[in-house]
Amino acid sequence: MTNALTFFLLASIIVAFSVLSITARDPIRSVIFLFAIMFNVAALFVLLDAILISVTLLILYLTISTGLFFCGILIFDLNLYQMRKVVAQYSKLSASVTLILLIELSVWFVAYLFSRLSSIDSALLSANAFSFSSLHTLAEKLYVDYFYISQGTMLILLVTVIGFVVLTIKKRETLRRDKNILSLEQNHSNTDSS
Amino acid sequence: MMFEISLLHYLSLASGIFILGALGLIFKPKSVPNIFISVQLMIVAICITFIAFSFFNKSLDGQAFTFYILIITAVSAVIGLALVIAAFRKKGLRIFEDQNLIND
Repeated sequence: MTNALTFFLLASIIVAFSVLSITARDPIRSVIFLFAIMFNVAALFVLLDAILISVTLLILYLTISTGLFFCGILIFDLNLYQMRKVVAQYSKLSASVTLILLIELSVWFVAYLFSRLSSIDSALLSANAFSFSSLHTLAEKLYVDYFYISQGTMLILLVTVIGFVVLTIKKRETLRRDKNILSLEQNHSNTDSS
Repeated sequence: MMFEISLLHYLSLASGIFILGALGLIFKPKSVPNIFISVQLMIVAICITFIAFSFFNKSLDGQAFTFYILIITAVSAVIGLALVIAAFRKKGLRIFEDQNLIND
C-alpha cells in the first residue's frame, strides 16, 4: 500500500511539473521545474530498486545545474548586485518548489516510521534494501557483459572533453594573439614618436 | 484490499512524460532552452521504461542501459554548453535573439 501511495504521489508531481516546465515562458522557471522533476524521478528509481542510477541522475543534474549557473555568470557577466537581484526574482518560486520536495521527503519519512513502528515489513522497504551483491552484479553487467558498449561510451566522453576544450579555448588564444599584436604595434608607435 | 503497482502503471507514466516532451518539442521549437528541456523529459521517460522493465523482469540489463543513456545525456549537455559559450564569444548576447544559431 505504501508502495502504491508513493508511486501515485511521485507520478502526479512529475506530470504536474512536466506540464509546468513545458508551458512556462521563462526558461529559468522551466529549468527549476526540470530539477524538481529530476528529484522526483530519482525517488521513483529508488522505488524500483535502482539506487545507483538514482544517485547518478542526481549527481548528473547537479553538475549540469552548476555548469549552467557558471555559464550564466560568464555570459551575462553579472556582478554581485545583479546576482542578488536575479536570485531575489526567482527566490519565491525556488522556495515553493523546495517546500514541495521537503513535504514529499517528510511524507516518506513518516511512512517509514509508521512501517517501522507497526513492524510491518512492507514491500517498499524490503525491495529497497541496498545490497552490494546487486551492485556487484550491475558492475559486472556494465564492464564485463557490455564491455564494448562501455568502452565506446568512454571514447565518446573523451571526444566530448577534447571537443569542449577546443570549442572554448580557441577564441581565447586568438584574443591573446591579438592582444600581443596590439601591444607590439603600440610599442612601435611609442618608439617612433620618441 | 492491497493495491499493487504493475508494469502498466510505470509504462503509462513514462508514455505520459514522453508525450509531454514531444508536445513541448512540437509547439515550442524556436526556443533553445525549451528544446533542451523537452528532450530531457523524453530521455527521462525512456529511462523510466528501461528501469521498470528491469525491475519487473528481475534483470539488470535495463539499469546498465540507463547508465549509458545518462552518460550520453551528460555528453550532450556538455557539448551544448560548449556551443553556447563558443557562439557567445562570436556573436555576444545576440545568440538569444537569433534563431539560426547553429547554421551560422
